[in-house]
Amino acid sequence: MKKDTSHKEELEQLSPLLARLKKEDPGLKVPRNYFHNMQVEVLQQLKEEMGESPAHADSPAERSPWYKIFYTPKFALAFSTLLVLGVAVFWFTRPVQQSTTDVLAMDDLSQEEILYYIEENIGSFETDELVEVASTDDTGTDIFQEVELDDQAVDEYLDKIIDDLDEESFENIF
Amino acid sequence: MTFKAADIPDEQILGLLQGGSSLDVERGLRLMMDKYQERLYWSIRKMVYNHEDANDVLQNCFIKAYRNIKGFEGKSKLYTWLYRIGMNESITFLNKKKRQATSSLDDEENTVANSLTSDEYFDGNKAQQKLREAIERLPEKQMTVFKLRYYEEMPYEEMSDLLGTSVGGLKASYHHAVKKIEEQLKQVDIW
Repeated sequence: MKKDTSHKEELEQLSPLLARLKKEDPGLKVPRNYFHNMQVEVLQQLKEEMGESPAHADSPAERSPWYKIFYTPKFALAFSTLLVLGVAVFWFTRPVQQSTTDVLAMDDLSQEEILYYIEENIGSFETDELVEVASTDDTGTDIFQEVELDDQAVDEYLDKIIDDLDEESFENIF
Repeated sequence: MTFKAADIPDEQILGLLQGGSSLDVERGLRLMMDKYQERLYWSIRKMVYNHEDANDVLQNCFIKAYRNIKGFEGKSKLYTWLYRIGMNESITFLNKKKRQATSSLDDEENTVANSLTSDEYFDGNKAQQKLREAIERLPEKQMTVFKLRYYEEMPYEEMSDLLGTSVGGLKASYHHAVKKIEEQLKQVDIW
């Protein structure tokens, strides 16, 4: 908007009266602090238009477009939900480690259970093992102590087996 | 260290307005207003006379500039672009006001006179008052041409570009307006 310097000459030629009036003070005044207040009003109008404050200080991180995506309530909620689900899936599908405590200790077995097992599987035990167990005070001696041997029954048993012994076995015993 | 807005180059202001964060945009807007608001205000004020009207037009001008800043390609200077927005806004305002005055049931002359005298920020002498009244009585287009040429000293070529009228037509319109106003002022005792 270049000012036309030829205008002065033009106006002088057209109307000296108007040329003179142009040189006078037009009498236009402006309120005190007007320009500062005007800026405030303009910024206020634009804030309302944008629906946000243009004056909040953005950190360099906040200027990033990724920040605007991730730092939103919706995304935070979705992320939290996925995290909880992931932990839950991991927890319930993890391989269960067999605990040594699952293995029953002998101490956990009752006396009745032990006796029942021995009676059922008496043939699996070696004679020496049974004798060893019977000779100790705190393990299984009750088994044998409970059995009362009848002398007559013993003699009859021995008579029976002696009759069945062959000569070689008889010599090995004695 | 203090700095003047006038010392800030336009490129820096545009950089803040066109590409920055919301904080940068506000800073750019403030710098643009600091640098050009007074100059633009007085150009607008001479067009619309009334301070309140000038305030409205000036604010609209900056708001429009903000909304369209991304489309500013830098082919002209920043102030030239702002000035053009300001003049367009002023002309639009004047035309609207003129239509409202002519459509009013009240006498148009009284409406114009009342509007000018009610401006508490005008303390010009009687001659200036009468000059303003005479200008306001001009037809819409002629009034715009006169103000742009008389107050803003705008070249006819630029005015032709702004108003879409031929240079010859603008010269004729201005010359006619000057004569009409001079006649009216001679009829009243302005001193």
